[in-house]
Amino acid sequence: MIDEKYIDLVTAYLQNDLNTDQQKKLDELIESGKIDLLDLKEMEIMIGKMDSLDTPKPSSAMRDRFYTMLDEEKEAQTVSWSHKLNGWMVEQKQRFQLSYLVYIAAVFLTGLMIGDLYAPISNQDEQIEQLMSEVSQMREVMMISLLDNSSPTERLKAVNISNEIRSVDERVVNALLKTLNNDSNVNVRLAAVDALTSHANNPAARSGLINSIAQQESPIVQAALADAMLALQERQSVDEFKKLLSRDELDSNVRNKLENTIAELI
Amino acid sequence: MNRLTKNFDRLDSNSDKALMMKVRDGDFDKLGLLFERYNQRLFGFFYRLTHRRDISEDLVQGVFERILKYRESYNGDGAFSTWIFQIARNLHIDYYRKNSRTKTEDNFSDWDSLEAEDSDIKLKTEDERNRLLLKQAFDQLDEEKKQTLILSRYQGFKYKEIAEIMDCTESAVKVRVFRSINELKEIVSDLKKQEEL
Repeated sequence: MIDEKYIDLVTAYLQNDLNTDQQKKLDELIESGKIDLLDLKEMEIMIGKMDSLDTPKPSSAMRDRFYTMLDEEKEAQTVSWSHKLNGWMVEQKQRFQLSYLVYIAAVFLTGLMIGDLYAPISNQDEQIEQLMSEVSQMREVMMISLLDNSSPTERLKAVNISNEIRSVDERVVNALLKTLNNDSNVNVRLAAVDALTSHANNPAARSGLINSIAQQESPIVQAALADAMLALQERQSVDEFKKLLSRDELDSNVRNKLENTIAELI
Repeated sequence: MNRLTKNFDRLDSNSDKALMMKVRDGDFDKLGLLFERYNQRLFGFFYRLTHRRDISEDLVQGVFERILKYRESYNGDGAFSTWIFQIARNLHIDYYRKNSRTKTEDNFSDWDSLEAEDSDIKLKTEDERNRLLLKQAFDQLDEEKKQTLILSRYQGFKYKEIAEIMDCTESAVKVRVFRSINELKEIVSDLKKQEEL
């Protein structure tokens, strides 16, 4: 067993966090036999084996329960605010004459109107822009999370959400491509073709669609990809379609469609 | 404001810390985003400690309930991820203490595994057998060692962050990691010997 006086070095090694000096020192200690390489490797392997202990995913009931709790909290917060406001009003009413309150309200409203009149429009635009960006990011998170759902309907919903995301980033494109290439449900894969086609201005989405052609087994998805490539006028897809055509088991209708697609693209 | 600065501001406004600040100030919808970012990590943390899906889900819910309850104490110091895992760890300690008193955990431990796996190790393939042995060995570690390994290996925290979560020194974390791995090696080896007998 390795001596505990080398804990700093060993733990840094195990977390892949050795600096150059530490690496040099560790090499020297191994060379001099003060640290047994076999012991070190055994520890590394043991840590590596821990990756085999996987965990299940939480159930959708957990999410439902959280959002129910959140809604209740929001409601309680609103009630609490209105309760506080009412209390304050009663107190103020007792303290001042009503006419005085009316005077204050009138001054306040006038101030609001003047403030609104002179509020810089550009600031509002920035806020709207930021709000839209946040909504888009929320959709992104929701989409990626729903794509892991076991229900095809939920996954279909997730793919459709991606159409509402303003500008997709690498994470969304990768998630859609993973769905297109691996999802067990044909309808979900078809929806992924549509979604990726609508984001074809993204180079990763476009090249991912092309690379997916040869991976598809379902005739419907193969045909959908042919339509998509035609719509995008993507000539680079021709080679991938030729690969599909070389398969003996290819559906005859799909074969005709692919031949026509290639003819139109060339 | 140029476009680059604007983008940085936008990124910053969606950081965990910025979202939590908004929750603290009463914008509870932002807690939904934090839930989406952390629920699976927290569930994994609790599941590896309890082996119970129902309890792990309860504890995840408990973390977010505590966040709401103590939101006003959040001051934005340090990383949000270490703060939320501090809450998670404290919640698990409370659960563990309560459970040790009532002894219910032993009665129901590894419920999901019992449902999913045959408890007879000898019937398993080599890989499955090794996995089960490691799982049994892991369960024999004390709670602190388990938590340290989970935070380091599965949650990807650096030793310094783990020290913050577990309220100890970085050196103590390193010692725990070092000893836990050696202990795991020994327990697995003992279990293998028992199996061969």
